[in-house]
Amino acid sequence: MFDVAIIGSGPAGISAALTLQARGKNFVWFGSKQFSPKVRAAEKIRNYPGLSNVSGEELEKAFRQQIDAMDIKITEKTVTGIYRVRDHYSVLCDQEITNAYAVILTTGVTSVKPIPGELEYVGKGVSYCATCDGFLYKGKTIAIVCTSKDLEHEISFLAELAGKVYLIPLYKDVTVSGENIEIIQEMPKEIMGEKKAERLCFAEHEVAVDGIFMLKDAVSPSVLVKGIAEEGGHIAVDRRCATNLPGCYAAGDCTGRPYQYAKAAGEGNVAAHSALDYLAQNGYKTVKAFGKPQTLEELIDAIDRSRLPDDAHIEKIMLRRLTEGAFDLIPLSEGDKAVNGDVVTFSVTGGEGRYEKENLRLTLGQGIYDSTIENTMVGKTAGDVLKVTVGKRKLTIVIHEICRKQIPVMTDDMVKAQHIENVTNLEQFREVLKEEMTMNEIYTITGEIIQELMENIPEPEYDEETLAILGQLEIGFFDKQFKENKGKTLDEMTSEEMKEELGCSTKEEFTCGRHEWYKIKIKQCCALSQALHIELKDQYDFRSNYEALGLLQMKVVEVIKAGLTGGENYGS
Amino acid sequence: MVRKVAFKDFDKTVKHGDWVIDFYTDHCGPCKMLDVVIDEVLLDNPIVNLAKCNIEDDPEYVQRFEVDGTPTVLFYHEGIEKQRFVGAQDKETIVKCLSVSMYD
Repeated sequence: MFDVAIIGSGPAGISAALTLQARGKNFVWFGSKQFSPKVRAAEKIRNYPGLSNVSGEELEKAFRQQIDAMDIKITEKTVTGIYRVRDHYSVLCDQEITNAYAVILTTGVTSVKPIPGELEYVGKGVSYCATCDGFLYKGKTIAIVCTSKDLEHEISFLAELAGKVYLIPLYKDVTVSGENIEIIQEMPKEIMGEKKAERLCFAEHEVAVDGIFMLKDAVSPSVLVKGIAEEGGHIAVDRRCATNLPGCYAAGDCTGRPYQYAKAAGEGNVAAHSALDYLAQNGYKTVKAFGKPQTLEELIDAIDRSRLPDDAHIEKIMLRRLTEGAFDLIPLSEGDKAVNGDVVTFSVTGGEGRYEKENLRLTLGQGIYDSTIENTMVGKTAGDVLKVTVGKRKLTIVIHEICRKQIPVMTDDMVKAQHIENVTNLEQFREVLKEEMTMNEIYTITGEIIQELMENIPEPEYDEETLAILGQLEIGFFDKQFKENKGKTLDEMTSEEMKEELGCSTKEEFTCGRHEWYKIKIKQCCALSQALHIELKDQYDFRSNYEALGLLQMKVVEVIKAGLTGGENYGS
Repeated sequence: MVRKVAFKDFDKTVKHGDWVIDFYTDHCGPCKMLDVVIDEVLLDNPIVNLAKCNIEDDPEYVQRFEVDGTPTVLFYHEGIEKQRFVGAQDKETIVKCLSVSMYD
């Protein structure tokens, strides 16, 4: 959990980040490490206070120096959704969720407007999410409208699933290609169809499709943040840069005109201060996990131990697993009065629709049936007859039964019904669950620590020879696998068979496409060897052992587990 | 009650009572977000049940229920579909759909 999440790294986001860092807040900042292309592209800026007559590049340089001097990090991930959950916000980046008490939106404005029909057909053939919906179009025909070169990996992903792809690239330098991809260099005019999107129409022609993917690196605020209020195409804010959502602020171009750097910087500062007030008023405070570069031991020490499941949490999950989340509903004894949370069975007459029905059930205090009626039921008992007026309706309600939620008692039989080998009673199930939940969290923590270790080492040298060796090792690994599972090595396969297994028709094509991954492998091996004080030789030599990285990772998990769980009695 | 439901067990599972049907896949970020919100609603409403239907494990769901986007959520009352929405929605939307499904 963070205090604040900043979304966007233009002048508004920069200003907010500087302010929050100066106040020592624990925040996460999503954006591009290249800041904003709109700053970079400016020729001359004459009205930015303090920097007389600068070019966009000079302004960007000044920003970078300041950010570096303040030790601020930018997390380069694309935010695909922001949701309010109870008392905080969950920020979704593809499949990763980051939580923060407050959010500052500095997402700027995009000149890519929705195509006519796009918003109408969302969820009905139009999708913004390749990983979510790609699978629905396996073997079918899709159109992909893509606004950024950075999203080409998603185009490749979809092209592998779909039968045919019409690609409409709205960016320069298209490097993605494939047998089933047909490129259309025209601006689409409209999306049409009956119950769902069926055709993508251009000026002079149209194509028939089963689905359309809009791959954008910027989505409009109302799509990004559920429930946010907009005004004139911008996020609606007051003078404190507050939106309609509590703890959610917006600054810069995304709140409207004038589109000026100085205005954005000013608003970024205001939004940050509003967020600070909000945190203080609600007593929200989180602990900064990692600061300056640290050893593995220091990183482990910095982990918040309460992340590991304690007995109470384990008991809760155990109950949920064994009882499928169901509660027992126990009828109240005669004379017991209903309270909020009780389940009432009743009949109602005197109205229409839901106000003229028998044997309905509701949970008191939720307002899902009718708040007025529910309030009247509080304090009543089974058998009571109520007269309630709702609007113009004069209703008669008869309460048949009132039940109270009760937590079921867990039994060994419930454990046996789970059919887990060697686990037949509550004690054993508890142990297994504790291990599972603890290791899940430890794996997550390991991922975060490895990420931190990787960021703190200089980029290693990558030579062609080493990359080729890693390619050979990987091919060797796959050969063994395919020989076992399919009875053939890669050399014994036809190029069609190889295409099906590896996605490429030759081994060379495959290993060349993997160079970026091999670089990450090398860097991670270097980072982990340094952190663990293990030399990269023998079984840890990634140039001779395919499993070297895996072994190093397992060692890190061991060290982290020992450091966090120590002895027997953690978490009680 | 929360249950993962295979295609062959669907009809008999949701025949009675009030069910939220969640069509999801394992690699869908918005589905995970929606899980958190639905969880909250279920905790407060013990008479509502959740059927989790993985459409990659059971692709037959996609055609039968015309699933065009993930997540797709249906609201069932006594075995009949009363409401549906596509995409991760907020608690307000889920509660509104529940209200219509359970009582209208």
